[in-house]
Amino acid sequence: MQGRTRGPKSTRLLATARLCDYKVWASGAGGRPAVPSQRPIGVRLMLEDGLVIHVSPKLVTHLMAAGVEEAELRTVAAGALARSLYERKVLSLGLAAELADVERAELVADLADRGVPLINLPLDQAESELALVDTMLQRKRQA
Amino acid sequence: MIVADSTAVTALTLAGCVEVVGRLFGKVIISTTAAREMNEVLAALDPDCRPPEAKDIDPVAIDVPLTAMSMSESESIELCRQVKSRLLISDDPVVRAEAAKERIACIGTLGILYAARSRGIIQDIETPLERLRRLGWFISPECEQLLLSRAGG
Repeated sequence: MQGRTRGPKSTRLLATARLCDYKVWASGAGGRPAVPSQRPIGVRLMLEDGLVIHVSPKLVTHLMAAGVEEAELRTVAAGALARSLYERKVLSLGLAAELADVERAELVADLADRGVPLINLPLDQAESELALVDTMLQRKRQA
Repeated sequence: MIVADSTAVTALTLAGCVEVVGRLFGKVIISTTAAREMNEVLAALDPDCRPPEAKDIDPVAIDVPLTAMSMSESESIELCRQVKSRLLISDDPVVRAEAAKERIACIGTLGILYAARSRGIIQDIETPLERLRRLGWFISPECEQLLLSRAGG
């Protein structure tokens, strides 16, 4: 299987490959022109110029059969990654929206539809926040 | 002077009680980018919802260098620096972590509802929480349970 080969540049796939019409291209070694492949050999999805997701040949075949285009897959992958990293508190809401390449309002509406909590502090932080409020109210009473 | 990002003030606006922010803290400032994002979210989730009045939440323009956060989030931290605010109103754990590095304390929807309930500004916690739920602005079960147990429903 060409797509499973690692290392040689000749098997590297171009991010411009499209899933829907079998135009999956392998880049030529040493800067030679790319040549078309006879069958799907996998796709690398580029997200934000850096993150690469390798989609196996088996999956490419399946996705092509389902009529999923590369652009759609890229959108779905970026959106899922953004939601997941937001839920895990790795990304802020703003950065998650940037990763998903949508406006913040669109991401918020999507999270709301999916029932993802938008107020989701770690419990110790939530407890600290209420303790801070107690302190502030106490100071105010004393003042 | 207290600074807010768009998260908690959006939640409190949707919950129908953003005026408690002004009653608790006086005028709160927010960056113009965060204010725009807040208005867009409000329009998306509840087109009938009125944005906060400037006497409560006042938008301020600010320039910031690029950071690891989004523009509005960076602006919120920078506003805190510039006006020397030691308190930021935010619900975003990542923004709060960035604020903590600058020794800026944070309070969010939970704390503000708790404070408002403790001071008798709002009659109960359940009403604003129900409004938020209806609009899909959910609070994690752990946080909601904590708030209800401490504020008494």
